[in-house]
Amino acid sequence: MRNILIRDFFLGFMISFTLAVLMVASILSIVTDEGTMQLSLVWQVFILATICSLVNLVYRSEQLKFIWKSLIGYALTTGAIMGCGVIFGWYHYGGNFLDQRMFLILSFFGYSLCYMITWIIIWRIHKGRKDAWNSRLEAYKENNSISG
Amino acid sequence: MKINIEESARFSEVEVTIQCPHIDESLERLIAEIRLFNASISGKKDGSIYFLKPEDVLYFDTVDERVFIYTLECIYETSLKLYELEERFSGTSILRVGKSLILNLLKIDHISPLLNGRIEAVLINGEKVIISRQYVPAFKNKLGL
Repeated sequence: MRNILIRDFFLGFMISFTLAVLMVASILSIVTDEGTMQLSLVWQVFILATICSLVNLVYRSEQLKFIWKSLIGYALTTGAIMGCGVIFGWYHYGGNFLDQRMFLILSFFGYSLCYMITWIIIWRIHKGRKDAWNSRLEAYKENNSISG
Repeated sequence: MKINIEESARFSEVEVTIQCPHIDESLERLIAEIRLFNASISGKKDGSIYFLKPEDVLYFDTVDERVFIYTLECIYETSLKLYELEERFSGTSILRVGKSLILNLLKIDHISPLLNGRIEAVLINGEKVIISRQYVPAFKNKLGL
């Protein structure tokens, strides 16, 4: 179990770190005129990816229901992303004060939208599989006594 | 299907011989029924021995190398090892689903896939058991998934 958790953590870390670097690079290229990404940003993304990968382990919980895992995961991930953004000063890039606040709000809604879309896709897959398996189970129970 | 019954004082016990060109699904089911015919599992509780019907069993579980039989009403201890129970109920709805767990599939109320490749099974008494990843293929195969 511990090995699975460690594997899942590193897998989650690699995915989130790669995606975050790509996203930051894309956002920077849109928001600022800088053609390069500062090394400090890579470290900041590294820290955020580590936190998010740890938060991701919430989804492995067998005690929590799917809806609670989703809500806790959303709250912690959003908190981590927004918190890191504020601490590392990501929202101070370019524009005036109003632009920066707008960027903060937009990033919150943008992230929430992405999370919601991903959640709906996962939920539909999960529900579809669960329904199919349970109908097979019912058919099995109907067709079999103690044998077969 | 022809049924031949030979009654004679020469035989000391009932012996069933099946002659067939190949074993198909329905025959497998028949063999499993015959295996379970009159089969009962002895379980100990409060110093008394009880004989239980396999269809009353929810699951068998091992705790500290002791095997317990769980039914809707009570928990009994059996002297049989888990692998012996697995062999005895081979081909029936009683299936090994974990390192220390044998589950009666007919006593499952519903199942839920878990994220790490395991399956959660909620039994008819509301109890939850986990089907280990290693045993998921056999479980799915049993359900025809």
